[in-house]
Amino acid sequence: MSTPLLEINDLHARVEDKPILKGLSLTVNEGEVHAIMGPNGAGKSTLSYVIAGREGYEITGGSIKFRGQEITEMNPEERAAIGLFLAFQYPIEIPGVGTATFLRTAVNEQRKARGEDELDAIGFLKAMRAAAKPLNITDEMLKRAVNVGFSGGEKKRNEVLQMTMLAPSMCVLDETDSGLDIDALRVVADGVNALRGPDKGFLVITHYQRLLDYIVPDFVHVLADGKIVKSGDKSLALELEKTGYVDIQQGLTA
Amino acid sequence: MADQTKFVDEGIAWLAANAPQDAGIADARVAGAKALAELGLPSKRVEAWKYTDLRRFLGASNSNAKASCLTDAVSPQITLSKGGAMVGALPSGVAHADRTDFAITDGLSALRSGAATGSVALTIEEGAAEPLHILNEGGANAVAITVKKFATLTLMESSVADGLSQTLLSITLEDGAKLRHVRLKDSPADSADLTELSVTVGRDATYEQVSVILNAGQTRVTVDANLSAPGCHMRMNAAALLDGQDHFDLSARTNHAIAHCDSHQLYKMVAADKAHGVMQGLINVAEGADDTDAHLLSKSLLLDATATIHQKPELTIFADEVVCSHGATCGALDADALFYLRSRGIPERQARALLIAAFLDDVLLPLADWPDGERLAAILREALQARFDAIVKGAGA
Repeated sequence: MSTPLLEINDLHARVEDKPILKGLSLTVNEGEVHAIMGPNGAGKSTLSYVIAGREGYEITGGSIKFRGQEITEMNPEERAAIGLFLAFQYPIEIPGVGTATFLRTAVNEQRKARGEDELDAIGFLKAMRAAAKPLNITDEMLKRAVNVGFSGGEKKRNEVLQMTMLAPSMCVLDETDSGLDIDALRVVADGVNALRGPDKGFLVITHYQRLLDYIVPDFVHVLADGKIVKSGDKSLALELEKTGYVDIQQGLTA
Repeated sequence: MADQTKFVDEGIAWLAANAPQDAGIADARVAGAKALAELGLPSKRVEAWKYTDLRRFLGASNSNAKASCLTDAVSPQITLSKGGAMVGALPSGVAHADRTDFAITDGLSALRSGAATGSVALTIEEGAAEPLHILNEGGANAVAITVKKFATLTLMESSVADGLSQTLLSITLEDGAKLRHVRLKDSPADSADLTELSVTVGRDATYEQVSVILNAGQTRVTVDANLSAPGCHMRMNAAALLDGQDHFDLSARTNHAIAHCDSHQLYKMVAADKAHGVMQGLINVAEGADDTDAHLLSKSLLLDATATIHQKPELTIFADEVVCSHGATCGALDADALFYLRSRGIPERQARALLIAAFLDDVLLPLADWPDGERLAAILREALQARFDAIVKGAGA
């Protein structure tokens, strides 16, 4: 068995003084797609931010290993450069920074950090256009400032474009389905599925089962009150869709 | 009182004995010294000088003027210095005369007149070749520029002076004239700069200014803009990057004296370390100046808790049918945006630089419509980037 891509062990984290994650453990191997479902306030978004290294989320115990390497002390850009990617639930608008400029800077900074040559302007442009086309991202969108004036669907497609260009080995998708209609959902899911491969791992965080019809997971976990309380295969997601999270939450308090 | 009078007389006698060759300059100095004794300098108790302490300006050191990045675009044809105004070969259609008025109206102008070093008056005819580049290396110089009917000019002004420089720039736009004015401030840290800029815009004339402040030292720019005939357009933009002990004060008064004029002002300041930025912007819309369209927006970023920004937009309206707005914002860099960029692998320093460049960049947008403006914008962007890199390096040390 090779080293897991992502190995989270007994993770505790808090925001300000409030404990959010309370002993979460999870292992994602290469080629696997894991879904994390859970009620509001369970700690789903916190988990995604803690993995990506956002400031303000304090780890009070446990570990996060990426290919066997402890990453909890790394800053966000270092985590990105070794192959971690977080697709945001609410992608940030950055006025004044062009989408193409942003993408090129990100791609080249990651390449620099890994000791690779930077892409030249033409090579980059070609790669970006090729990646943008199946996502229905036009040249006009690439010229606009990052996410400024983008619809909800356009923002999510832009996240997938970044994921494609940066080619991470471990992707965390935080509620990628929120704010998407069914057509947009399909485009985004197709984009994600195109990136699946035997050496890649995905952690799909979602509130609803709907997304998992399109991005079919190998494993489904239920996150409640800061830890994984139940794991299973994709049928668990369907079960949850029927019964809701109430039973699980009752089970916790019982 | 009698002793003080005597002291002034002695001073004036000394000035006369040590007068420069140029009689006009000598007269200006004597007149300035006399007026200064009477008027004094404004203290911080005066509202217009509430945030700027003139005493700090008087302690400026003489060192060496800096070089201007705008020289890459156009070699300066006029150099202002402690030795006066030196006029080189001017573009065709630009004429110069020696004398202009040192216009003493208050303590500040009296101080300048008292230290007068030189003056020049320029006239721009229709069809003049562009652009004109004035390099300001210091001294106390008065420059008058008249853009004649339907003439067009791109004026580049590089203020790179050491010591205390005091410049009076009086601009008159005749009917239908158009002046595009780019101002660069890039001086030694221990320098001080008291600049007064007065602009009078004639019928259907256009005045556009884009200022970039890279190294302010101690700087106060007082702008007095008069929209004096119908159909005037004015745009003034400034981007300031302040660090260390920099003090930059932009106090602009815009007077809409008559109907059917518009003015747009956009000021952006970024302050790090112990820097202090001041933006005082008054728009006055006179009685009868209907159909005025006047807007002022001042936005600031504080990079450190030790930096200070004061912004005071003011609007006084005495006309009925007007569209006016003014506003000011101040904050820190957007933490969400910073995390977003870093999560994509962009190192923190570079992410901050990107966000700051983006914050300042719309100040440069008018340049896109200027002849050769893209090149100017590229030079200024690069200079801002270099300055920002230096600021971040300094902070990391």
